[in-house]
Amino acid sequence: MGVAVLTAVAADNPVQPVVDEPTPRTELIDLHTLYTNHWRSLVRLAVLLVDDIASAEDVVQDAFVALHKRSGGLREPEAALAYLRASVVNLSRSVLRRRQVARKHLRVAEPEATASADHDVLLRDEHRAALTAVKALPRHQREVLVLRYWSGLSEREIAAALGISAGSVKSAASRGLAALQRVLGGEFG
Amino acid sequence: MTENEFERTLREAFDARARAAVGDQVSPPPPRFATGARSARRHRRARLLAPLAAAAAVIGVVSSVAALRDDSSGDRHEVGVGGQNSTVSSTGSPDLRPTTAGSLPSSSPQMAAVRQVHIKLHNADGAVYGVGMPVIAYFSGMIAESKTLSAATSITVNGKPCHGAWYFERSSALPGYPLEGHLRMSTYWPAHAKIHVGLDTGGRSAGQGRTFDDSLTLDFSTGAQTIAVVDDKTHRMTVTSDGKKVGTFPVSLGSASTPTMSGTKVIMAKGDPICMSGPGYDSCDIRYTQRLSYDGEYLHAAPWNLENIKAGIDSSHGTTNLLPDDAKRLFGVLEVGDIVRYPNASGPLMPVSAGLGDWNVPWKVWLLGGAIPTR
Repeated sequence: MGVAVLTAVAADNPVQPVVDEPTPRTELIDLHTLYTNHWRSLVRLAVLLVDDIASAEDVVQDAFVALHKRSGGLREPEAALAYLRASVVNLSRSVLRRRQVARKHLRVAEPEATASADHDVLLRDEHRAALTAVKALPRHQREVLVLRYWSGLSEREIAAALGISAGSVKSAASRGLAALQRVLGGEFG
Repeated sequence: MTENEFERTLREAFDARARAAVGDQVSPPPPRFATGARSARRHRRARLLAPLAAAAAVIGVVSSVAALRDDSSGDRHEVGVGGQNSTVSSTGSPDLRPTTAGSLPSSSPQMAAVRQVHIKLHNADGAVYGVGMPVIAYFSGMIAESKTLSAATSITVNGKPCHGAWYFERSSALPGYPLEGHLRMSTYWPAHAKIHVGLDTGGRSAGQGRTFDDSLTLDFSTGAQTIAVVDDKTHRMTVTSDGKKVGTFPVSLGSASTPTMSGTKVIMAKGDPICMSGPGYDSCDIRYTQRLSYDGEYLHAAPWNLENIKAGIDSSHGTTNLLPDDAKRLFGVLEVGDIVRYPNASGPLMPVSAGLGDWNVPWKVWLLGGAIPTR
């Protein structure tokens, strides 16, 4: 299972993050500092994509392992962060896919059912409704909305993280928003 | 509901969910890449603990709300920030902003138009820093003016009010926090002092219809005044602590093609060991490192470069190479926030944004406020 997660980074959805031209004076970015500084925000990103905290933590660990194994390394913290973000998105897709397969064949209880129920205690009604609606969106639209409204990324950065064109980002965002507004409009209007 | 309000609800919903799942006080587990257990299945522990953590968070909210009710003075809702990188909302909940904690229902018409700016502090409550450490604040949105923030900021050193000033730059350090402000006095903090910073910002204007969502406090101490001066002429680093000489250590700085930046730097982080790589090198066993810039300047042990260190030949990729024994000793002496000066290094002057280049900005320029003018 673990191996499948790792290969997913390279083979499943080959996404090359944007790497800036290295500046002449560099030691490589310090992976431990990167981990300390960005672990929390990356796990939060993953939680918004896969729903349960256990899978989210797994995804982030695997993303750092992937960066660690990358030969040549990355010199710019921004480029490394972009790489990690792209890995988190890819690995989250694998989690969702595995979960779907498990559901189909084994009919096991969903692992996230209990976890999100507990976290939901802390959420307001309108937020819970919005999150439920986001969960029902097609995968691409959900990813675009999370990266845009939670990570605060630009269209170009989202395109790089998802390996799609800026135009696709724009259309996914507007379709996703429109769908959400259709579902939630009545409640909030 | 307009599109903007809708987007804001979405943003808040994501934020509430993310913070409920991973609170600001949660610290990262040991990284898997460091243990060599490359793809171990995660333990069931976290899954079992999650409901407990959520329950604890609920209890935390309830008890702190109760504590606020008991507080008879009641007019100020300043709450100390706790733990590392943490912010605490005025309701006392560590994970939720006031808007998400239900104290300000966004359905009320007068609140709907107001955009809230959240402040997160880098510095940790109760920490001991070197005398050069600025207070670092990240802002969740751009602010249009900083006069209100400056007026709401108070600093006391050992209980005495002191004057400090903010300096702003755009930032990519934290996702969702596009602006970074540094607060410092005109001189280094006094050594062995207790420093209190109050940001009475909750509900105050950030300009153009925006308000700060929260008030914060920060309490930290300073240690000894430890200053290292690296002389690129003599290739020696001299370290003093509270005016007493700790020692003089031979160094090798950056070569002509990869020069070390000049100016005053501040130790940002310590690590032992860490990974470094670049053209022709890739090692995860770099010992006794003290970080000085985002792009990779460090003080560290360089057992592969003994001859150049002893001979005073600059040959590194920009880092300050030390003899292993010296690096080990200095790792025990220097702390985050200590000053490392490079008065005559061959590289350009270190800017603020390259790390903690705060002391390279003259006080008169600092007072202008940088990206968000303070006057």
